[in-house]
Amino acid sequence: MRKLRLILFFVILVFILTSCTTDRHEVDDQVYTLMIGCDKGIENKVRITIQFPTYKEGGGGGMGKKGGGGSEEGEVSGTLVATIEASSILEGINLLNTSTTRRISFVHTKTIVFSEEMAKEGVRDYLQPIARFREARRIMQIIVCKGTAEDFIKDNKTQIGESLSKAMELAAKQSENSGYFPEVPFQEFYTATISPYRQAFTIYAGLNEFKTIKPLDGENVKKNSPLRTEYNMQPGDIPRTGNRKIEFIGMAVFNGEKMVGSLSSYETRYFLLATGRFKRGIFTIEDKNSPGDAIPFDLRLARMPKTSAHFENGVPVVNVKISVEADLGAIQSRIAYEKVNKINDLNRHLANIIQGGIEKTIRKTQQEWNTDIFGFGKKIAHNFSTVTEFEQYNWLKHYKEAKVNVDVIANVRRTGLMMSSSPIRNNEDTILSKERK
Amino acid sequence: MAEKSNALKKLFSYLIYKDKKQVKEFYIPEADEIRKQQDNCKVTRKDTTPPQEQKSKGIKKPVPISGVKQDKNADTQKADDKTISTDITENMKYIKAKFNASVNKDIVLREFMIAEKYKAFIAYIDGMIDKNVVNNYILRPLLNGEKFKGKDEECQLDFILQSVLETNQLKKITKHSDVVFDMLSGNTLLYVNGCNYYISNETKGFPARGVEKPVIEGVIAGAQEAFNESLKTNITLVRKIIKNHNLTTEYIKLGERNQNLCAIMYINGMTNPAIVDEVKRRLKGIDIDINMGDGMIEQLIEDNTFSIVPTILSTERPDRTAAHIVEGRVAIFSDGVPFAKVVPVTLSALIHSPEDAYMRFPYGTLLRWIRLLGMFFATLLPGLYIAITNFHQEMIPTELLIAIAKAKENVPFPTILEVVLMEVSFELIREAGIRIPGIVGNTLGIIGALILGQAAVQANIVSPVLIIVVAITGLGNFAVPNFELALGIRLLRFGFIIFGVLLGFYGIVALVMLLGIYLVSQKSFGVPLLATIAPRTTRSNDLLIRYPIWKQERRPDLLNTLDRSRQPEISRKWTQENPNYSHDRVGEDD
Repeated sequence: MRKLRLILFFVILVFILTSCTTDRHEVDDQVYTLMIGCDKGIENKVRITIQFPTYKEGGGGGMGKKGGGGSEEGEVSGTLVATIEASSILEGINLLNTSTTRRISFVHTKTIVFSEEMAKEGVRDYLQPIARFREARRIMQIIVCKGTAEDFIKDNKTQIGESLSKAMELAAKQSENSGYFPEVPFQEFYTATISPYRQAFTIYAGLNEFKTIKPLDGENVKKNSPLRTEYNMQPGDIPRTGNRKIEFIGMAVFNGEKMVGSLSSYETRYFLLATGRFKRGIFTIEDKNSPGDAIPFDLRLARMPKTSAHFENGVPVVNVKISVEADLGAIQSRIAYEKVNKINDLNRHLANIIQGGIEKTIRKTQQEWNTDIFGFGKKIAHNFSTVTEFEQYNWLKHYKEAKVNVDVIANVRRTGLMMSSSPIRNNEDTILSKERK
Repeated sequence: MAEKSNALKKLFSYLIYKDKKQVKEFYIPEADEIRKQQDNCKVTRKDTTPPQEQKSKGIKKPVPISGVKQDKNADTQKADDKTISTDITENMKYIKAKFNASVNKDIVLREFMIAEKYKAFIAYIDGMIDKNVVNNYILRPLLNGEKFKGKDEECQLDFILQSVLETNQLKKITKHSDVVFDMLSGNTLLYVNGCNYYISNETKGFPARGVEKPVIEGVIAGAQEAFNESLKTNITLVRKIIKNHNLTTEYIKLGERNQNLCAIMYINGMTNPAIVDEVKRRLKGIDIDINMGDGMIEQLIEDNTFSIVPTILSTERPDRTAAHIVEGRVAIFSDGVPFAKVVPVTLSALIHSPEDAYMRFPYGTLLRWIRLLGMFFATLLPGLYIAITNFHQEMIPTELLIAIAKAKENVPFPTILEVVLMEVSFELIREAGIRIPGIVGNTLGIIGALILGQAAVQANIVSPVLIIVVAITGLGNFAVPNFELALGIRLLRFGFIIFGVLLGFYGIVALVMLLGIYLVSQKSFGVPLLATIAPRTTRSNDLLIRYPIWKQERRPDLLNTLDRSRQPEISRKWTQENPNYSHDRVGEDD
């Protein structure tokens, strides 16, 4: 019995001494910010905007949108948006507790948004608290947005379902289906900023005001529908209309903690292909035998790219071998590329286009910004015997001198549900099935 | 005027103080008081007894046979606790006195003359014996004088023992203590004048339940027999399964007042004799007032009284008992209880179900894993729920978290209170469910589900997620095959809830560690409870994955049985042989 009492005493002692119990919070005693936005402040260093869900039944659809005038608060898709200016992110959030009735928790933050203006000045001051603070999770997405983060968050809403958090998670996941933008968790971004091997990059996003698409019945509209394959757009420029203004397209490129430029949608694809992050996407090229007609492919990587690097006369040489597979989506010209004698032609053509694109993208990062977002440094480092030597060499500085050889092998493997493209007959031409070879 | 004054008096009587009216009430006197009273009675009775006896002799009773031809031998021994007198009157007097027969009407003493020559009596307890046996097979042959013709007058009892009595079990009893015990057990005692021993006839005939289906250890596949309250039946049920000449049953009497008979069963020459010795040593070392069966025995012989998990396996299934005995364990039975206790056991034996062995290998293993999952839920789920919702909200998917928060928005209590409330209600349902009358019992499930589930949520007392948690926990608990282990798990669950709410995952991990340390230190009759895992022994093929029956070649290593191997390496010899009817498949394409 005495032993039992002793054990009980120690257990109670542990509880008292650790005082862990003070960290306990009920689920509904807190609100969980889904998105944090950072803008340059006017009165103070940073202007923080947070978005968190309300706990009202059926939040979203039926509740109606308040906050017409003030724009400080307003219910968006069952969430509230609040903005504050403060000296740092953490204190800003803490300051918001003065007006929010519940404790604001970071544990479910999905995304942190920096305005482009801020990113160009450097995000160093704002990375630390997220990297260091216990609550913030390093799997959150990093986004750089055109315009202000405040406006961006105010337009962050869900139209399809009721759950905004799901919408946000899935929006970032669309990278896997298109490859127009990368998926960058905070962890990757942060390690890239402090890495001697590579530089940071992240999603580039913006609000589309639906102005770039010209109305079909507008004046001075010539409807000759030219073929434009490489859709090199910046966020907000995609000619579309719809409900959700937010669009992720391209990527922001950082030199250290400062944003130096951006890659457009196709450049992003080439980048993803070269680094092996490309999952799949529809890739359209122009038919060289029938200009004006497009051949869309369902493109994916056949295997991870093989990168090797060595020095030649003091010049770093990087070889990248990329192998892609493609499924035919359509052949608008109906030229029978599926045939054995023509398929290699098509393969070579596709490979050339991809190779050219990747080379161009690499050259752009070398010449315009000298930032190695590809992470070639990792391979270059193999040529040094110690890390110190590599760090003394300073790869990030020498990136622009590197000679990068890109070798692309493309292989059109599947032709879809059609074995061959039969010609379309009409009431004028006479076509015999046997002639087509 | 008088009337008026009376009324006035009555009125005053309500107002003024009066002594309380004395009412004679019953009270239980101290033992000393009773003894003193009895001593006084004895003194007074000494003078009055003889006339009373005379009176009763004269009026009520016919003269007993023993009193007819009383040759008053002066040298007849007095019958007392140690010696059996050779005089029938003395012995009758002794038994009457022993059983308090003047008041105790269950004692029947029947006097008669064997073959009209020898005075004798039989004694038994009414209701405990089979009247048919006593009438037809004891009294009839004895009263019928034909068999006694031509026999000399002396030494009748041996002759009776050998040739006259027609009951199956007879034995001479030379001690009065055995006489008493045999009578109490339902045997009929025969005494013939002139002998200094009794003959005990097996005539047990008290009502007993038949062999029925197991109640708490039901299975789908396998035997559907369960023990009942009769010790002999239970032992027979096991013997019926193990037809082995080495299967040994030993009896031990337990309980100062009720002299309950216990039995231990083991296979002689295979079970480690040390285990048998230890079981017997512990059983014999018990000095207790009343023994109500093996539930009490378990508490008296187990290694650690305060152990959370049972260290003795309790089963109501003869097949399970038999399987354990054959593995080298010892079974303990007790009269009047439909359960057997098996020692020594490990934790793995407690989580196995007899069904595992009956089912084919893949199904048996699957069922075992499902039960393990059930145990995991039953122990940890409420604790984990509390830990996650209070400390680790990041572990819940965002949508679910928001849904939980929304549902909890109108609930005024903290999660811990909700959990405790629901757990307590659930325990209430379970406890009430046992005692609720059968007809109402069926509706209990509906009441429980409706009141606790639907209504509690609608009344904003608990959040709906919690209902699911508690329901799964309850289901998990019912999946535990051993009832006592399930109780232990119920107890542990509250521990995990407390640690979860105070320290989150850290607390739960800490308690799991503590529990592990604790379990490792527990022993069941010299066998560590977590044996085969914690003290590493030879690999068991029947631990978490139930290997095919033919792969279980060894008995549990931890029991140190005298015969290690259960079966040869190849127990399916037919796989080595060619079928009698076969055709060559050489040359065929396959």
